[in-house]
Amino acid sequence: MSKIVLNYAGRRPILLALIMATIVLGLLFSGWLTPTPGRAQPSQQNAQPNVETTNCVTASTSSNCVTAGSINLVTPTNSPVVCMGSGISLSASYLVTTGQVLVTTTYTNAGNSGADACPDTYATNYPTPTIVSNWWTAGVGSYSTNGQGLTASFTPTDCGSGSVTFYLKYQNSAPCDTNVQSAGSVSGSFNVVDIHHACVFTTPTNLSRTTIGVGEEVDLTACGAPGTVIWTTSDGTVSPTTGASTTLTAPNRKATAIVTASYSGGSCTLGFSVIEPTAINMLRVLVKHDYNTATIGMKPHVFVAPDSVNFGAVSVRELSATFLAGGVYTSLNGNEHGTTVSNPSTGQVWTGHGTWCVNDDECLVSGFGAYNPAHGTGYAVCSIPCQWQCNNSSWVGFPNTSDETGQSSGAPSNKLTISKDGASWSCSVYDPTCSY
Amino acid sequence: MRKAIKLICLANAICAMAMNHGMAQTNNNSTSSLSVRMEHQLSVLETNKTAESIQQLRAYINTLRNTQPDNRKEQTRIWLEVLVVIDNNLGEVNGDFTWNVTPPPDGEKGIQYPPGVTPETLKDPVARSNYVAAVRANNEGTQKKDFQLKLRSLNERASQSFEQYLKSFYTSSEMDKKELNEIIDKSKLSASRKQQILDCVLP
Repeated sequence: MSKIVLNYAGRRPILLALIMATIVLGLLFSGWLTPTPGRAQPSQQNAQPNVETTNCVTASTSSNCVTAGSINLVTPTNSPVVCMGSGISLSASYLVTTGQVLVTTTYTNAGNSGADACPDTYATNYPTPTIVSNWWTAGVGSYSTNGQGLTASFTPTDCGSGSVTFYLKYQNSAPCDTNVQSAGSVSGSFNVVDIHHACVFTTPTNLSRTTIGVGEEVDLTACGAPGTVIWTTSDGTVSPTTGASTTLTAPNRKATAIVTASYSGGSCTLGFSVIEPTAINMLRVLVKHDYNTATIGMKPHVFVAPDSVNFGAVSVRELSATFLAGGVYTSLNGNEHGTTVSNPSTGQVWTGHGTWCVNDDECLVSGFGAYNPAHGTGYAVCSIPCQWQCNNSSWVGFPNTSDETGQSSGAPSNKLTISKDGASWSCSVYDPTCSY
Repeated sequence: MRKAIKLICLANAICAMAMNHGMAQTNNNSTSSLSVRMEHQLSVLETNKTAESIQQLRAYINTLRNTQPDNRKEQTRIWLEVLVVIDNNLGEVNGDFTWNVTPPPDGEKGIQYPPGVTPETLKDPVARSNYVAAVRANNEGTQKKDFQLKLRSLNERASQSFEQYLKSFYTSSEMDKKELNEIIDKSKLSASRKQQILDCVLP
């Protein structure tokens, strides 16, 4: 290495001299080659007196608090808007202002003159206050929570405009005031959006269900959504399409209707499972029989099943079918059952049955049996195809036919039975006359 | 340079279209647009007393109940007009109608056919004629009953929505009461309905 340098020096002596001079000057200015004087250095506690020839003997050292340090909280920079079920995260930060402590050192030989003089020396320290505690509280609607630290993370269970407030306490060291100080508080805001929903028909009583019938209405409110809300649905309709609330009308056929509430900066969705009628149910309310004849009848209420939703927008009808009959009811064989008038629903759901229709049905088997006291066995069956429609849309067939059946057992029990769609009644030929 | 100007113009045009679209949407739900639609909706019900016209009026009431008034006085007047038409059409829900009508015996000592058979099944002309008339009366009665039941349901919906509206946008202050009284006095509501409305804003 030295050989290389010497070789190079031989060829470029002036350049080498310049380099060397630069290095020496650099070291001088950096203080590395400067002899350490005894003067006070800022931020150094063990400062030495300005003595060159005499050893100064420390008499005392005192510290005075010039200014106490402080900590100031800084407000969170974000204001999140989330859908219900999502987590919120907000953070506060803080700014530290260091304190100022003046350290004064006196010497026993302070009074000496000349070269022996050791005047007081001063040093300034900049202590940092320490954080004693920090915490936060948060709330939205009826939901509230709290935690430690300056980052709040939580998942609210209520909607609306909420806030998080951060708190901090700190302490300075002696000689400054060592009492715990409050940095005050800062708050950040957030929004939790939830699509509140309530079925319009009051039966079934669970109004917050998300399984609804075709054509059923649901009132919707975008709780906590900032600004103007625009409503859309993947199926069915919403009316109106702007505003804090709207009403969903389910589509006329089964679907999954996803309602979206769009607001400034985001959107939240709510899904509804829209189901169709599955069957017609009947419940006997009145009965008919003529003494000593094969006549038997009943009037049942008519329901659209299932009972888990409201089919208030649905009507049902029966289509043409042919009676098959024999025995005492032979005269009914081959009779044509016509297409019925539309039977709309009332919008009232009966538990265990379904949505009640406006008209009751009438079922009756008689034929010549009405005039024939010499009754025997007999049957009359009509498998009637049924249909439903929603809000006057196309008619849709039920999966199963509606079977109206009348039977006469003959002697010795002479029992008569009539049944249709879950409703039935039995009596004896010799039971007294009754009528609706 | 020209291209840049053209691009800016295009962007401005798109923005203007978007703004107009947004405004149009907002205007669709304004009190004035509801006022225009109201006359049509109510006349539909007055001329066609059917379940379909009630369905249309129901959709209109859904919009009305979800619309923030930009003209409170006018929106209140619209509500009252709707209630007047409902009140005028409300009637008794009576009549024993059935899904399937039982035909009369097919002549003296004739066959008693089951309910719902086609009229052609009956051979006796008088029996058949009576059956056809009974089926027609049953159908008409069913439609009237359905109309009344649906109108009652609509009345319930409208009354609750209007009550909610009054509680949201009127106070029991003398000024609000005065405004409401003036609008009610001009309406053709029944005395009982008027009192029902005033009770909503009384402390």
